[in-house]
Amino acid sequence: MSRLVIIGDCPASHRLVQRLLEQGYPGSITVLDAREHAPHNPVLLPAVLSAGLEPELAALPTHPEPVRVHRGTRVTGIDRQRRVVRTEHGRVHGYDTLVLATGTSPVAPDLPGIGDTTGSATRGIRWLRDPFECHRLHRELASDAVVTVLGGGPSGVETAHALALGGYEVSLVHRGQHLMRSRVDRAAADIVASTLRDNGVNVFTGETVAELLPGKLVLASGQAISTDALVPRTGTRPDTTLANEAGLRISRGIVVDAELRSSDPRVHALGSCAEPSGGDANSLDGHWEQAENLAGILLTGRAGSHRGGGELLRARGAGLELACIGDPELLTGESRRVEHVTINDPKRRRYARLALREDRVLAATLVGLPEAIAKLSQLYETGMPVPPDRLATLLGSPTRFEAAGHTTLDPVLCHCNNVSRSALTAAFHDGARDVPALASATRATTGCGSCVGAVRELCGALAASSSGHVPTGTDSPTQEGAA
Amino acid sequence: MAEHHVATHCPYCALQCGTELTGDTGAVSVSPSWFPVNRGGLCRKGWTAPEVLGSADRLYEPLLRNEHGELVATDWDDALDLVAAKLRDLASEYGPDAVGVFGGGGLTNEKAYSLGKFARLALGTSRIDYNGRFCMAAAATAGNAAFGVDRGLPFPVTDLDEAEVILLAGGNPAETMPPLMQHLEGAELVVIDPRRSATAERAKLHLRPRPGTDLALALGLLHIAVSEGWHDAEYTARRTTGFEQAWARAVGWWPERVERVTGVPASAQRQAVRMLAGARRAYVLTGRGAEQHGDGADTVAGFINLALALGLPGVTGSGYGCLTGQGNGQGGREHGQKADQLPGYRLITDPGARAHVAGVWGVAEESLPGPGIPATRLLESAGTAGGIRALLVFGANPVLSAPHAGLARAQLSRLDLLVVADFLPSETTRMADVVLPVTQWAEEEGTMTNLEGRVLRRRALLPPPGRARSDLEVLSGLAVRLGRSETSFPTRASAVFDELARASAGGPADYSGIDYERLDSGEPLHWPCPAEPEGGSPHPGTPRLFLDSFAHPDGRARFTAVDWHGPAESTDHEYPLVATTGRTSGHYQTGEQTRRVEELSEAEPESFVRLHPDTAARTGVHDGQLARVSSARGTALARARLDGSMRQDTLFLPIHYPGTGCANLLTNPVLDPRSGIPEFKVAAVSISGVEEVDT
Repeated sequence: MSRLVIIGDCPASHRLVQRLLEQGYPGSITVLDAREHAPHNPVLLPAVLSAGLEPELAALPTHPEPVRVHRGTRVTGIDRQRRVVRTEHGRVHGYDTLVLATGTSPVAPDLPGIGDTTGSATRGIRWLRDPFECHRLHRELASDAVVTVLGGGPSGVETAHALALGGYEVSLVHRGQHLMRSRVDRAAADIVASTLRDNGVNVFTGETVAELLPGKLVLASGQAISTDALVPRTGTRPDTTLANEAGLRISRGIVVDAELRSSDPRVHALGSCAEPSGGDANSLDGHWEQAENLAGILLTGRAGSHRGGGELLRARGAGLELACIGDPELLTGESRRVEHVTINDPKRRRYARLALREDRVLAATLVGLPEAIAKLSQLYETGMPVPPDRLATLLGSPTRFEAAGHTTLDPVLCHCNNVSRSALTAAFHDGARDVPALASATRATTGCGSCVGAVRELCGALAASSSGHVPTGTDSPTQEGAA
Repeated sequence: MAEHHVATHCPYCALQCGTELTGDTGAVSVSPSWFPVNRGGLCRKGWTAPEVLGSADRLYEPLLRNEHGELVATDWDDALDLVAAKLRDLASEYGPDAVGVFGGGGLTNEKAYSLGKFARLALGTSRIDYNGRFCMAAAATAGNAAFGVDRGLPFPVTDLDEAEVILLAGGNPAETMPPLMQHLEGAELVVIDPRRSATAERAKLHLRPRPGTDLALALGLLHIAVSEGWHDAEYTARRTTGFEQAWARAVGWWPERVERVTGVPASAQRQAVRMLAGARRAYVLTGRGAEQHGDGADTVAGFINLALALGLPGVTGSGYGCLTGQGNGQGGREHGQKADQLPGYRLITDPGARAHVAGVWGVAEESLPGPGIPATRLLESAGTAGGIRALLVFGANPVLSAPHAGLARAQLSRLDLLVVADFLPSETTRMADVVLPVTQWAEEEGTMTNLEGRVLRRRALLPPPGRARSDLEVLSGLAVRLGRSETSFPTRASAVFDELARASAGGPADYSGIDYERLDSGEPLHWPCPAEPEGGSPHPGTPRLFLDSFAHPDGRARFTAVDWHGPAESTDHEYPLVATTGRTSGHYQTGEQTRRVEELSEAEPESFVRLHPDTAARTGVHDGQLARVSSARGTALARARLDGSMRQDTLFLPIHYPGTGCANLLTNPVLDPRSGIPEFKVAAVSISGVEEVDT
């Protein structure tokens, strides 16, 4: 029987195991992980921060038998010749296929005395890497505490936003001139910054930190920001130590091919430790897609219908409407075959930049346009063309129920019973002078009842005009006759 | 001559609007009554229903296919003798399961009961199912699993009047059951529908998922409810089980991921949950749009999970419900015409239920057959080894209503004997070897159970026309010819009801405390309504279920762990669009009745396909042009209607039309493994214009 060993219980490898189980993987599955806790869904960390979600609810489900998961078990080495991995407890696990899902470690900010990334909260540093750390912050900090997030990439932006929703006073300090510089342009970043400010986040760009003191963070510019807790979001680094020691090819991460194989065909790498990684550390969709792809490869020996290339960054969090679709480089290209559309509406916190080729989305940055984000990301993924009216697509101009409308001088007032204004008018003149009488004469209002107002109005108008009309109607000829 | 006059109910949908009928043969008029469901309202289907009574092509005589292949009139004895003889021959040659029975959700309770009894007793076959399998079987399965009992609305319709927010997943009552809308007027509506239906037009919030992604959306809403802190943990702990397992799946469906799959903006998902959770009185309702999928039962379970997490079911003023479709869609699924079921909504596999029903029927428990197979499989088995050789159809039109209609027709043509009891010629009667003319609503006595589980009296205004007989008489006549006693198949509706009530005693849908006398006195009786011991005051019925406990042995509702995997068929280069099917305001089901009403037929004379103007431009289809819509299974012709509110990846076709306009020529016969409901709502298709030559 084939033996699959997975090092690292992360969301990507968790998904891999789920899919393998669902599809009846015939071999044994062993998962080794140094941590004591089950893996969590990183998407839920903001909910722990902002809504106080119980950390247990952020856990990913436990795998059923016969998957063997060894927690608190650090792998100390991989012997590729003998195809075994060794653990700190001196145990040896043989494999036929090995999957490395070692994830990433945070990169510590360049701050004197911060030490390594295993540091605790003692110096006011909060890594917020798992739901328990998030929950601790939620529990320990006073509701009016001041939290500073360091690093204005997507993860820093999401964290700052979630903390602000949680009611904290939040500062976001970013070294670059604008937020998320590798993903969005200046104009988009400015709108994101404005949105954060609207939600009470103090945003500092172009600032580096000099020193963390009790209760405050001193910036290189000399400005001090009061800070009860500092949350570093200064990037992550693929965890490649084991792979490196085992002699696998490493670049930034563990180098893999399209079938997620490392330089040793029996060893795969998955998730944020791999390169390419299927999206940044934050992009669970990409990692899950990779996992599903790898499940197909392990089950059938070949890659499934992996869509690939679907690079999509979608900021998570209520009110944080930001999506980066495709390669941002394409937004600035000069190719004649590429059509560009830009909307910049900073006052309403809306921004869109689109690059299209033959009506298909190549790349897009969208801020503050929730409908357009939903629509364009689907068009991007399905390869369907973007409607010719680009502005309507982006701004969501209202569509009428019946575009090919039957505009008529005699509108149907009661759709349920197909009763027109003229039919109602005729019934009125035949003596049906109120709504119930009109209803029994024409059936109008007896269906869903939504036309009652319109029928009452018509009835009133007819009553007014006939009471006004009848006397003048009779008077005028008399007067004329008299004249 | 004094005019006849009766109080009865509309023949069509599950609202069963109260009506008064006046007149005589050929001149019947209808007016709505002040029944709580419709309170004086009636839609145009209901207003024009009397016209169907006098249809020019009404079936008046039994018909038999002659040696030239023509259907010719015969008399009842000849027809029934022939049918009975053939059934006996086929059963003795191939075994009792060679005879199948196909019922309908429009049959009265009495007919549905007699049909089930006839199949199990007179034919001894397990092969019985009904068109409700096509309709809302998914909600029934999910409701039973969650609550231990399935009643469309476990509360009176009028409770909805007080709602603050109602989430309607895949329902369009503004067109399909307009009088319901008066009960939704006070509430803010959240409508989930891929298209901007008349109901969606009224909504405060319209969520427009890509067809086939409803379950992903339901999972996303649960994810938001929990992660944003709306989860009613106290209710969940006290009244439910299984939250952890359900959450373990929903944990992976954060709103931005759901947005990618469904196309529903994350912000709109959040707004929906906030509206629902923030209301003091809130309801989650499902319709066919959520149910008719290969994962239909799971999709409904997804919405029930949401309702449970918010603490809605079993609480006065809040809840979950399903908007049952067919006139007796509720009663029709309680009395034994379902493949796996005995009267009283009992399972045919439950030894206690078998013993009780066998006792009422006066037979040995072992003589009752076991469970049969769902409707689509039943039709598929026609003429195959081990499949059915004969089929008796009562109150259904499977040639049009089954998925992959082209195939359904081929399947029925493989039968040695097709017998159809109906009051109008349909695509199915046209294929029949024997057609038996039966009575319709205003010509018969009986009971119907509406969408709120209230048992209602249907009353006869007119005598049966021509030589038409009630279905009860037809079944009795056949049973006697198959060796059963006349007394075990009574023909008087009230006598059948009394037996039905006894058979249902102790079951989930207990009617044993109900009789015609109580119903005729106007008592609003919702089941369960068990018989009280001699001398006790009669049971008042149960308008509201679950207030104290749910119907599982532990009294708790159950979350179901569900996950989304996508529809069976995905779009590709050849079939790049998704077709979804539904209903219009002027027609009912396959339209056999409503297409015969001049006013309705004129308003919607032919099949149409709604599509976005951009989709039309891309495919070269013009507004008003006849279009060819094709799937891997077949092609339908429909008139193009451009509609700027459609999703660009979606086409919509109504289900009411025959021939080349039949939407089910396109649909996928893949079945939901849990409920057997077919995937009517998602088919990968292409569209092109048809050149019409003016003559």
